[in-house]
Parts: sequence; C-alpha cells; structure tokens
Amino acid sequence: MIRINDVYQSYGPGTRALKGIDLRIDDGEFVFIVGPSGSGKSTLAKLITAELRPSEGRVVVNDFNTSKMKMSEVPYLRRTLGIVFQDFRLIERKTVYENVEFAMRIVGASPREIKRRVSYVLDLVGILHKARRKPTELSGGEQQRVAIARALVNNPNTIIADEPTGNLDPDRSLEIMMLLQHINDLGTTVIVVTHEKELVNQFDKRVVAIDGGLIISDRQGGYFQYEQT
Amino acid sequence: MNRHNILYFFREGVKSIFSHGFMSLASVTVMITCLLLTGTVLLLVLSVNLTIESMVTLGDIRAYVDETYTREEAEALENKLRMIPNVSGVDFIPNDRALEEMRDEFGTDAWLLDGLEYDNPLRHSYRIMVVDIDEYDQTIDDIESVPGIAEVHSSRESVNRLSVIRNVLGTVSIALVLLLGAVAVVIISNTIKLATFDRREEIAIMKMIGATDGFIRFPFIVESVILSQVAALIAFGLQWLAYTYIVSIGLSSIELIEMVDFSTVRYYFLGGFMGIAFVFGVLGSIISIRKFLRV
Repeated sequence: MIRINDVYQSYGPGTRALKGIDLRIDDGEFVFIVGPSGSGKSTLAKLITAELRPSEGRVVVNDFNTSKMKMSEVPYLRRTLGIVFQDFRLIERKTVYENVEFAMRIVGASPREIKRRVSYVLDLVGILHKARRKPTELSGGEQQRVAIARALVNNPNTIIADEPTGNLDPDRSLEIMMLLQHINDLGTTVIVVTHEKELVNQFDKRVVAIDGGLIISDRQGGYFQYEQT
Repeated sequence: MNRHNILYFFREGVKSIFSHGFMSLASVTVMITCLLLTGTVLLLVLSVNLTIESMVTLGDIRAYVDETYTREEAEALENKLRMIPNVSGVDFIPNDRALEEMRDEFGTDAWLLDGLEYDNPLRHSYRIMVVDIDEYDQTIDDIESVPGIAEVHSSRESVNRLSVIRNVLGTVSIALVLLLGAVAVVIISNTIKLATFDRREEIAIMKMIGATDGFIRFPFIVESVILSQVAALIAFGLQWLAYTYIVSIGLSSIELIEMVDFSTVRYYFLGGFMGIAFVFGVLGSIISIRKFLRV
C-alpha cells in the first residue's frame, strides 16, 4: 500500500514540483499517473522509489516511511518494488538471463531458486527463447519485457513503471501495457506513469492526473482527460 | 554478505582488473615501488640496529680494575657490577687470561710477551654486556662509579652515532610509509574510480533494484585487494632477490655495518607488505566508490 499525505517537493528556492499531494494506492490496484511534461508525475514516482525524500509531508510505501527512513533502509524498500524505466536500463554486457538473475543475486537468493524463478518470469513476459541474447540484440519491446521480468523476479508487492512505453511504437506499447495488466491480474499492484493519452484510454483503470504539481483528477475507470478539467 | 555471492564478487573483481588492464598495471607498479622503497629503508634500519646490538651485547664495554687490587678483591666486584641496572652479563677476565688473549692476538709475534707471566703488567678486567642500548650512557656512568673500577673502555661514541642514524632512518621509514601509502591510496583509488566510472550506469541500476552499498562495493574491494596483494607478493620477491644480491656482491665486506639476514625477517616482511598493501588497497577503493553510491 502507498500513502502520500500532503506532500510538497522543492528542487530549490521557488521551484516546487509538487504542491500538497494526497494519494492512496491500495494493494492490487492498477493506477495510471498521467500529466503533461513538467507536471510533477515523475517527481511523484521518484518519491515512491525513494530517489527523492519529500520536502514536506509523508510518503509511506509498503510500510516504509520514506520521509524518516535511513539511507541504509532504501535498498530494502526497493526490494518491495519492481521498477521499470523508459530507457529499460539493462546491463549491456550481461545476457537477458543474467540481467534478470542479477536482481535475485542482490537479495541473496540461492542458485536453485534463481534458476527456477528466472525461467518462470522470462516465460511469463514471453522472452525465454532469447535468454542467452545480449540486450543490444533485442528490439525495444523485447528489452522492455526483459526489464519487466527483472522488476518481477523478486516477486515485488508493487511494480512502478515510469514512461515504460516512451521508447516504443504503438503496437509494442500496447503489448507492454497488456503484459502489465496481466501482472496486475496475478495480484501485483501496478503504477504506470505516462503521458500517452491513447494508450491510457484503451484500459478501464484508475487514472490520477497531475498538473502544475497538484492532483487535478483521480477517477476509478477514468480516462486520460486532464486537458478538459 | 551472502555465501552464494562470494564467487560472484570474486569473478566480477577479476573481470574488472582486465577490463582496464593498463591502469591496473600502473597501480600494481606504483604500489610495488612504494613497498620496495619502504622495505629498503626498513632493512637499513634493521641492519643498523643489528650492528648496534651486536656491539653492545657482545660485550664492547671493558671495565678495568684498579691495579692495586688483588685477584680476590677484583673478583669480589662482580656482584656489584651485576647489580647495576641494564647489565645483562659480566665476564671476569683475570690478568693472566688477558695475557693469553694478547698472545693470541700477537700470533707469531707472541714471543715478544715472553717473561711477562712472571711480572704481569696487565690489569684484571670485566667484559660487560648490556640489555637496552638506550640506557647505554647511564650504564657506563654507573660502572665507572663502582669503587675499584679504574677505567672503562667502550664504543660509546660509535654506539651513539649509530643510534642517531637508526633513529633518523626510523623516522624516515615512518614518513615513507605514510607518504608512499598516500601515493598508493591515490593510485589505487584512481584505478577503482575508473572502474566505477566505467560502470556507473550499472551501479545506478543496482541501486534501483535494491542492492545494498555493501553488495555494490564488494567486487571493487575484491579488485583492489587482488591488485594490492599481487603488488605485495611481487615487491616481496624483488626485495628478497635485490637485497640478497646486494649483500652478496659487496655490502657484506663492509665491516662497519652488520647486514641483517633477510631469511630471518622474511615472514615479517611478507606479512607487513601484504598487510600494508591490503589496508591501502581497501582504503583506496572505499574512497573512490563513495560518490557513485549516492543514488
């Protein structure tokens, strides 16, 4: 569960990216966070992943209060999250399998556990047949699948994807979104930060719209309609 | 640290060494040079120390008994001499034994001393050994103040001079360890910095997927430990070979200084080199990676 209470975020004197945000995301939800460039949606994502600490207010993510937690606790918060980036952020010198395996190695999983789980998630995202390839040998859509597999492999409570389809064509974007929906159906909370109106409107999900550092709309089964509000 | 990851850390550390081979070679070379310089000064300190010690412990102090004393009276001084602090041994040399020793020294000219045994002009004396050479001056003063001791001969001047040399070399060696240690830390840290810079994206990814600082840092520490230990082993081998060679070709013929036998100190040197290199290596890697962990 994610709870954000009265959060302000400043990047310096006079630069406020968020101006008093309140948001609650329950376990098992699928939420789109939408808004134009510079609206504060990526800042919100960074607050959830503890890349940023709130200037004011409280952010609680999977029982970790990021406003008060020590730096040494951040890795343990991130292990409850699966983070997917727009630019995939795969390690090029490692194979697909190694990229995913690596995330399990970090948490100290046993080799047997790693073997079983990595094969499972690669199969789940439909990329098992390319396990021995390097990321540079894959298309953008395939690379994003690997990134999702890596985010999933430690069985996180929440997947947070910041513009996951930003580098993909519309067909691949839809595939990735369908995959995220499938993951959500399996019980994982999914938060997708995006500005792709067409894509959001194809799914009947909760849509939180941000503009100018404020939540201007939060509708269950809503559409990407912040422009009209 | 998880036991499943030990092999992984080692593998990553070794890979990293070869991925920027030139810098690794440079850091090993600089570290070898630092260790060799420090080791050489240390060997000089040890040799000077050995020279001083052998001078004083072999009994370079000779205390001559007043010539009016009979043999029995002279022998009675032994207890008083033994009670002086810092005296480790006392050897009474009666005048007849002194004459015998002189005969031995004269060798084929010993006939010159014929007849002296009937009217021996030599005095009874004591050869005295001391424990701590820092108390040398005081000990000689104490011996001189014993009633019945007429004269004391010693290498006070030489011992004092060698002590000064030893102290200066000791200070130089400490300064060298610190100075060259700093150089070693800088070069190792630059090597690791290059490796971390090379992999900064990877480190950022690791941080985002929940890696602890320790997990990220460990392969770099392994790398610096391997580099520093290789440098220590090579430096040790070179030090041994060079020192043994130099002693064998000439220095051993200079009687002023008694050169320390490397085989007696080799384990200390090996342990010292490896220990110093380890500390500086780990320090260098920890310093260099810190900034890349702030994600």
